[in-house]
Amino acid sequence: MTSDRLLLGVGAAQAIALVISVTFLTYVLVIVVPFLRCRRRTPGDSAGYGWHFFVPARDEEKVIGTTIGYLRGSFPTAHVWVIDDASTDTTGQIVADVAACDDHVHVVSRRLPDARTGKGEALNVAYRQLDAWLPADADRDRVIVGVVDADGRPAADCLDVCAADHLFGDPDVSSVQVCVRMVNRDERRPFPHRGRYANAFGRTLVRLQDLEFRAAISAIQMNRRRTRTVGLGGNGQFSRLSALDDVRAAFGRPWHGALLEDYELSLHLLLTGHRNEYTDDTLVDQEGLPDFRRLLTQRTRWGQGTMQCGSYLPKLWSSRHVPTIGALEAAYYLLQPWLQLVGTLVYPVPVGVLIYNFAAYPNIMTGWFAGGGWLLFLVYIVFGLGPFVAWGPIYVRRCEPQLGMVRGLALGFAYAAFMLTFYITSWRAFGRILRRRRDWAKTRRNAEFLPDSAAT
Amino acid sequence: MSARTAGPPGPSSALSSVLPHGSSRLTRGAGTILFLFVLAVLLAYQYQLRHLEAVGAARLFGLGTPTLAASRAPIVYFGLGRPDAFGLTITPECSSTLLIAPVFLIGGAMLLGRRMTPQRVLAAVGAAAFLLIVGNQLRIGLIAYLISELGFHTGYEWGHLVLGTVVSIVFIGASLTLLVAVLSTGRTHRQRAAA
Repeated sequence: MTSDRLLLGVGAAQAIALVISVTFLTYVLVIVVPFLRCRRRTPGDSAGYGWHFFVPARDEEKVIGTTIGYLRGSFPTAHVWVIDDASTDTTGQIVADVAACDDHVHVVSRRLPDARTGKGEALNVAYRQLDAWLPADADRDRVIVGVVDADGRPAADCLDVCAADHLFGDPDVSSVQVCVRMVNRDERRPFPHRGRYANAFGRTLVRLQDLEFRAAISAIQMNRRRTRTVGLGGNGQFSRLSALDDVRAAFGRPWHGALLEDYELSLHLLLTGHRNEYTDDTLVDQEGLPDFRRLLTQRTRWGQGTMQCGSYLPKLWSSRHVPTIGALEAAYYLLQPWLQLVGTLVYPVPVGVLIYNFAAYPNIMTGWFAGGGWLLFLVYIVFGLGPFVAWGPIYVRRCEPQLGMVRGLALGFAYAAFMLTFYITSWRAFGRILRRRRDWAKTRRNAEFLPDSAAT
Repeated sequence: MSARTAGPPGPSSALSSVLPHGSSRLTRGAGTILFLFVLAVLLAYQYQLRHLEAVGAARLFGLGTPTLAASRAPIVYFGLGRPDAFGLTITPECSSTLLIAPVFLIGGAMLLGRRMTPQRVLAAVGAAAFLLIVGNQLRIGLIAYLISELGFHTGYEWGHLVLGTVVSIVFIGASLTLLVAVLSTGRTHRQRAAA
């Protein structure tokens, strides 16, 4: 009986592993086709809108000056609202100096003990300050708030693309998320003072983040355009002020306290009947992280944020604004960290059974393997790694054709290995939830790790 | 699934349909309990269900070739009356029973909210489960066919390890797609109420 139960347990674990894997495989197949078919659309005219960039900045003295300069130079009519979140360096002074001679640059100062309470709260303060600054008769449908990281670089055509007929040109669209690209994806030596292997590893990490955002995430977002569940990111998100007003009216404030406050905003927008859109016709550049430890920290935060946002599932499920296919898509996304926890438990079971059999019956198993058992490994490698490896060639074909297909394939395999980090970060995130830890230190910029002479 | 060579066997050889407003908390609760009950049955009686699968395979493929299911064990024999007759044992890993279980779990979860009627969820889960059963029957038939064509070892390796696995993956994928398609088609009860 005990043996039967053990066999049943092993069978159940293998069945769950198979169903989770095939679900992911099917999902990838569903999102790849429309992604490859998507073509560039005609941009619009940004002149008909008022554009306001919110730039949260906490201890960003290394990058904030150049970011303000870039935004003002690239988008002369746009206003830049820099939120100095009680910086302990010269960030506040740098912004104040620029604002003193440029009426399109605004300082939003936060001071302790009311500061450093999260990015969402910082954005809410900027929202209130913009609200107070705007004339009472402002057309809030045509006032667009963009959120850009302190190292963010929206492409020069970003606002025109966002104003296209199918984006803000469509009155039904409330928010637009722009495709994110890693600005340092071609940097050969992310660690100037370290050795060859450290640099090779670092630049591969950055390249994989670029692949992830411009291929895999972009395809997910394209699919979400159909399911009406486009998610907003922390960099390159644009929203109509009127939509933020609606979220404030319904939920008290536009941004809330989840560690994934940007995705949380998109959920609130969905729940208030708004439509979010996504475009990869333009880009916003941000720094990729070449350091594995910082990457794990960042991904743990994202994992915990996603787990926190899982509390919205009942609301999404009962909302009349969210179509069923959208609720299913959002549920699948929000369950991902939990499925990864389950995966860490069930995926090793078949491997364990195999190892046990090899140890217990070495002659039989060796014969089985040599006599054709290896084919099973081949099948599992193709179907197990395929959904990850495919993104390498897709990325090269769609985003970086100069890399060539051989590198694309190599990147695909590297991406499959890269994805294993999620099994680490999901457990770390789960551990933080169990310990009720919601605090977070921001991800430090690459420039902070360089000597002053090398920083840009 | 495991295969065994055999002579003539002895007797025991081994919708987003719409929920009417406020009418159905009880129905949904009953539906969830039903799904969980089926889930428990799938786990508790998987041996008997595997035997049923063997009987089903024997009936299905018996239309084209002499087959027989073992009287109690989950084994189906092919090529009876020939010297190269063989039997396939349907193990827990190779049965559709455990693959169907997650589908019923999803079905139970779908009924927790008021978005879908039990009828819609039942239709979706039923269609997805049916496709999984059909896929597994085809897989059994494919393995048997390849064994008869390529010989016991080669046919079993290719049928069970390669093509059979591919058939499983394709049918699981198709089943999940069908599940989502049936669940998400149509209007929610709120939309119908608004209309």
